[in-house]
Amino acid sequence: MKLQFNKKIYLKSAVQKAMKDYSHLANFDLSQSKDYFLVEIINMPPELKDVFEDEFSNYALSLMKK
Amino acid sequence: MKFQINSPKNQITFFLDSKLYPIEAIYGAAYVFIDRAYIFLDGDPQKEIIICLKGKKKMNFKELEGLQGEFYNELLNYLLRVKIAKRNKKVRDFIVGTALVSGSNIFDSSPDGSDNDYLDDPLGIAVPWEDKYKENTAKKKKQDETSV
Amino acid sequence: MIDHKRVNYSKLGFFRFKKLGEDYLLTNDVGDYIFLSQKDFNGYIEGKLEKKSPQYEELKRKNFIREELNLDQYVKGYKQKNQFLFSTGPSLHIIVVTLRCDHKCVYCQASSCSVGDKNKDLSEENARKIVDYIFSVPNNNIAIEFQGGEPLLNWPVVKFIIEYALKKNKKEKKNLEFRLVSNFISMDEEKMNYLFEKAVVFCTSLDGPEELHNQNRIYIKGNSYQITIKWLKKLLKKYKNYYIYQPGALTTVTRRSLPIYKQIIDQYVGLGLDNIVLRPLTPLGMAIKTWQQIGYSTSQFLEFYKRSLDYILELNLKKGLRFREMITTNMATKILTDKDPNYFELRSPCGAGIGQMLYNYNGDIYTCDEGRMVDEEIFRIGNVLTDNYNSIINNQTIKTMCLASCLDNLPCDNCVYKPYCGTCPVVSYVESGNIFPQLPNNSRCQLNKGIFDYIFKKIQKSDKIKKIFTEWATSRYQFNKKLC
Repeated sequence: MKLQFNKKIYLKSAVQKAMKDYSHLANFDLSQSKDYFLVEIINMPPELKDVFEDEFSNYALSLMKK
Repeated sequence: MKFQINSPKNQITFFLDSKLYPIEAIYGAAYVFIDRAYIFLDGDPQKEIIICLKGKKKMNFKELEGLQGEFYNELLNYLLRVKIAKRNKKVRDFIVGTALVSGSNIFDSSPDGSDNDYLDDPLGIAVPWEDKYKENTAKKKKQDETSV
Repeated sequence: MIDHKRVNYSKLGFFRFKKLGEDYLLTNDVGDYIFLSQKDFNGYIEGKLEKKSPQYEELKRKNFIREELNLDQYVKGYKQKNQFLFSTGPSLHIIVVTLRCDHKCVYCQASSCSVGDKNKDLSEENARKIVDYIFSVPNNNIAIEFQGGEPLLNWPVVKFIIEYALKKNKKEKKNLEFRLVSNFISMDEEKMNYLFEKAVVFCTSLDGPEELHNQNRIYIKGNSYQITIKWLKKLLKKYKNYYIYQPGALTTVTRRSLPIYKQIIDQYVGLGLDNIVLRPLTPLGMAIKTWQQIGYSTSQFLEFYKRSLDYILELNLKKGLRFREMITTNMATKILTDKDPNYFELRSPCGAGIGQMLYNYNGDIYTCDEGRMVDEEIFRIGNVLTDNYNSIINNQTIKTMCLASCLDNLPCDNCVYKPYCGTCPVVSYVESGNIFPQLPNNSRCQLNKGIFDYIFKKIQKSDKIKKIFTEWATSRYQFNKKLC
């Protein structure tokens, strides 16, 4: 599954920073459509499966505050 | 305010007019909620923002509705903070600047305050914006009325 | 709910706010605060408060009303509250005289090594360089704090530093003070008498009753608790009538401490100590490895803190004891007085490099005590053998630490507790790999907010408790004077 981050709301740098900061937990692939950054999460730790995407999204959003 | 609740997903979605609620204020309110909910933003910052809040703990219909209410409240609080900070920026900069420039000599001021030149407020920064420009605004209004 | 159309911004001075219970708590840049009911808050922001009302008077007096701002008072208040900004370099100098330690504490943050490993001792030659360096700092106040490991295991160098610093100070005439953090295992009468003569301030660790203390602070060759108690009692007796700085003790709160808060406090009271520091575990050093066994959540600690504070307040209120909790005291000083306790973790920016420096056994200089506890060398800022003060103080790491702990640059700037709070870049780095705190998930943020909430609720509800907090906060300054 790919997470979608609206380009008008999320900065690419925030999404990339989130990927970097979470890189010890999973691998990521970033691509984009016309309106969205698309983040594919690869090798997500099974024990974190339920919360990983949500926590990742929150983290990316928190980086927008700065 | 219109909203949609998706109970199985434990989430509530609602829409905010970007003209009333700038995206910076939405970021600010969202930030406060990060430890309680998962937040997803979508939409167009020029028109309408879609907010999706997903409870970190399982919530019933009422609780999700309450979460939306709290978010909205926080948004209003945040807007007030932003505006107060903006309106007071000059006077705060002046206070910090004066304090820093005058160094650590807290008790150096003369007893009669004669060395406290900054109290004269030469730049008029302690004067409320409205008072400062009241005269000009009144003049302009008069001119507008005349020209009509 | 705020109706923005009715807000009269021209009347509003700068303030931060939050709803605390039924009322609003408002604070400003100099740390003044006021509680307003919903009705009065609305009246205030709409500019409709009756000018003769006590609320308006208080708002005016505390510079919350824009058109009635007393700039002179505000500037002076800002300077006084941020006095630490004007200090001329660090005043606290922590010297790690050895990394050797006879204890194996379950939460050790200092990466201590075994007693036999003398390679981890500070040499006299390096000690001399460290003292020379410390005296090159332009600050007129010098506090040299001996840490370890266990500093008494390198007693000759402790003594050398004291003698050499005192000798240098005959010419320099600075306000020189010595502190020793010790577990007392290697203490004897001769050392105690020497340290007493030099007015050295003592601090030890006392985690609570014997069983808890010995479980936390493992000493294979004997009973750590009994040795600590023995010397603490002796020192308290010896120092009592001579110095205002009394020997102190710290309790590090582990999971086992949580249910027995009363016994821990009773023990401190019973020993005649006048305060306790309820220090939460910091996820540094050994504590990272043992967290599963001894750690707890922030909410569990807050629950412990609240129960402990309630109990201490009860002792003050009902039994007339004068006994303080020191985290509360530091916060109360910031809230209730015009002074700043200069507590490095509650400063913006924090004390790293500009308020304190740490010198390791090999001469390496770190920004702070916490900085040396991180495995990587990112908080190392130089070495006394190769660097001078000017090059150190201009180090990029110090500047970055200031930036990362300056709350004006962080989302903290919106928080009602900003005038009283601080953040530790080292703890942020350990928790999230980033020296800028990842709020609001940052544990320190949650902890500080929880404590501030509780203190303000107490102040709001009871004038008697407010009076006690004020006494705790102000007596601190009376205490900071020497008797002799």
